[in-house]
Amino acid sequence: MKHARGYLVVFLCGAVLAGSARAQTTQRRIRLVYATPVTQAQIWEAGEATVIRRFMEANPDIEVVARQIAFESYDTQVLLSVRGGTGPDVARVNTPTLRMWAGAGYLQPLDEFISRSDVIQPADYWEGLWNFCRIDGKQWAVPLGTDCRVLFYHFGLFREAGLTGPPATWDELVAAAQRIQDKPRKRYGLAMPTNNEWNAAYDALGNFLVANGGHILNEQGTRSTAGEDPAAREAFQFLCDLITRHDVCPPGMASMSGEVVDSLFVQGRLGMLMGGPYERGNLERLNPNFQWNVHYGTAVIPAGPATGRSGSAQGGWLVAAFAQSRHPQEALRLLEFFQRPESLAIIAAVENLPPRRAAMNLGPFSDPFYKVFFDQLPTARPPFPSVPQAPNVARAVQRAYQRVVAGGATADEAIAWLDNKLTHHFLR
Amino acid sequence: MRTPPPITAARSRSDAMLGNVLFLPALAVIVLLFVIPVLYELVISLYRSRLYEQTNPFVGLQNYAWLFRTGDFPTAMLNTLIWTVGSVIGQAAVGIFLAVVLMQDLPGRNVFRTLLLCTWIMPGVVGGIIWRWMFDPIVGILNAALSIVGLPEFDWLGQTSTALGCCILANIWKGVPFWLLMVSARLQAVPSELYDAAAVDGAGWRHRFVHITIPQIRGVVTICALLSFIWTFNSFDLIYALTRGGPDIATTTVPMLIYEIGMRNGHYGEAAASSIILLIMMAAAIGIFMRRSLTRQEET
Repeated sequence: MKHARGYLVVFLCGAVLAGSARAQTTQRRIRLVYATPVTQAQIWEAGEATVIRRFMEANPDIEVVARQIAFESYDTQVLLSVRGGTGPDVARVNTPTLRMWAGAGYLQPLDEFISRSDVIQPADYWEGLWNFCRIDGKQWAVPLGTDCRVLFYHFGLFREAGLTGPPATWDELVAAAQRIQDKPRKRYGLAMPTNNEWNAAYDALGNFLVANGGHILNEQGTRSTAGEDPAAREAFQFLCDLITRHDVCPPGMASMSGEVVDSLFVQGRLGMLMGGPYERGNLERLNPNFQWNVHYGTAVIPAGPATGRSGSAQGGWLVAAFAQSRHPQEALRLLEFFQRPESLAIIAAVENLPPRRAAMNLGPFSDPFYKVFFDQLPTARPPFPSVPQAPNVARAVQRAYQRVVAGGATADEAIAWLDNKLTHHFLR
Repeated sequence: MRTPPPITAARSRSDAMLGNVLFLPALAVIVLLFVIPVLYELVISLYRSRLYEQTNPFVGLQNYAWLFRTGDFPTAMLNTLIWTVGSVIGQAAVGIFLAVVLMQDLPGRNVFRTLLLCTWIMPGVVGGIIWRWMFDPIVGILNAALSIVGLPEFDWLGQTSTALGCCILANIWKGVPFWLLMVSARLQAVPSELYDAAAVDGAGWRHRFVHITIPQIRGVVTICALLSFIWTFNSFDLIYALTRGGPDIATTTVPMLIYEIGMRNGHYGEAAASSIILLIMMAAAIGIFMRRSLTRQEET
């Protein structure tokens, strides 16, 4: 009995000590929150989740918890959490919103960290993209991926319409779309997503605007130039004409979702769409047998009449560390891990293009599918400069477009409205 | 039998004090959850408060002036008015009609009532997505029906002329069961002798409805109208799921505009000013409505 009591005491002491040791181990493990707008399981698992797993294997003292938020409410939810004191340690930042978040003081400046880092080599990044992360001489984020849009065209519909190749100019684009458009058979020439402000500003207007060399804001982003820039007016007019005059788009273009555009294309009911490298995955998810170079091809965006050359809206994602992080050093370690060429290649492989040259030789980027994007990239740029009122600017572009296609205004009236709205109300 | 002790002045004072003490927690909750946030909102509305600016200078009433200068706020107010009045009247008309019809001894009426309730308990976002697909110009059931009779397809939610009407229709569908439930409950309490006596006197269904049913349900209609008004006026989810306030701002109501200005654009001063105006409008509308309803009830 005496022995039994002794064993019990020893067992209990051991249990308490083991418990406390385990608790200490758990306490020592630092928890980082990483916010991302990637919610689709396949993209998440093959991309960021893989990189995060590798990071945790390499850094067993750090646990990374992902906060996945749908793109539509991503900016709002991240901002609300930051203001509520529960913001992420590291998060993706959409290129147009960087200036807003940096201006709000939410981000950690990275200059000193980058100067000490062996991984982040500024010279290895695409220069324009790298400079985009610099505001007033300070580095607030680093690129995670970049993209540009190209023209996707359906082989079957092109063949049926007697078209031998993709259009190279705006006139050819209209002609091709008109030959494909067959309303009674519910076949349409061309479509772009327009159901949120970013789609409207980048995918719909952005490609034509950049291809035509137009600008809707001045370089400083302090006033609208849409009305005084003939190239911008022509691009806007052309976009609206596709729907109201040439009638080569499906119904619902006032607020067309990307999912509907992709579905129509896969079903063989849409001749052309404009999208980034992510489109290939989107199309394959709808129909795994629908393959690039078998069922559809890609080409650079048709050249604008004012420039005679192609152009495309450039977007992409950045990654930043947040100022309110309780573990700023660990947050920077995660950010640095994301910047390894092999990490960037993993992420870019499932959605866009790597932002630095060292990652180009890794992953699938030698696949001929990517060639057109690398051809397009030198002529790509964001449709408007980085301004803190970027959501306002994009929404105003969407509203101007909808005033024409849904409200019966002329393109000139809508441009005048856009000018006034941006200069006198949104950029003040 | 013991007689209760007389109420002295001291006891009266002590009762009053006890009453005040018991009221304090409720008062504290009201101050904490309503008065302080409203005052805070009022203060913010007087400053230029932008998410991306580190300084917040005092600007007086400039945020209020900006709202009216841009033209979006008056449009949103008009949209809110049409959306609220259209929805409440539609819900009331259909709800009362169905309640009266379902009072009749019809086969399967309980099943019908239960099915109707499903739409009310459904989250607004889900209802919005269902209706969005129904209105979809390419795959929607509405255009499929039109094409059967040879009519051209139409972009119901994509035209500024029809988008708000479609939203109101969806909201009527969503709100009718509430009216049906409340009015049915009241109708079941109306003594059948009233209808029997009227029938003996030769009153037709129209007279019975006007002179018996309407006076009997007036109280519950007032309550339903008030609640529907508040819910619809502040509604966000259904419109957001249907149109996100577009095309242009054809379906943007004041709560949606506040969300856009404050949450998406980070202009807190202007968003706070909109909220204050919304609060005043709401309070005034409810005040007028309640006063009229109570006066009418006292008269009857």
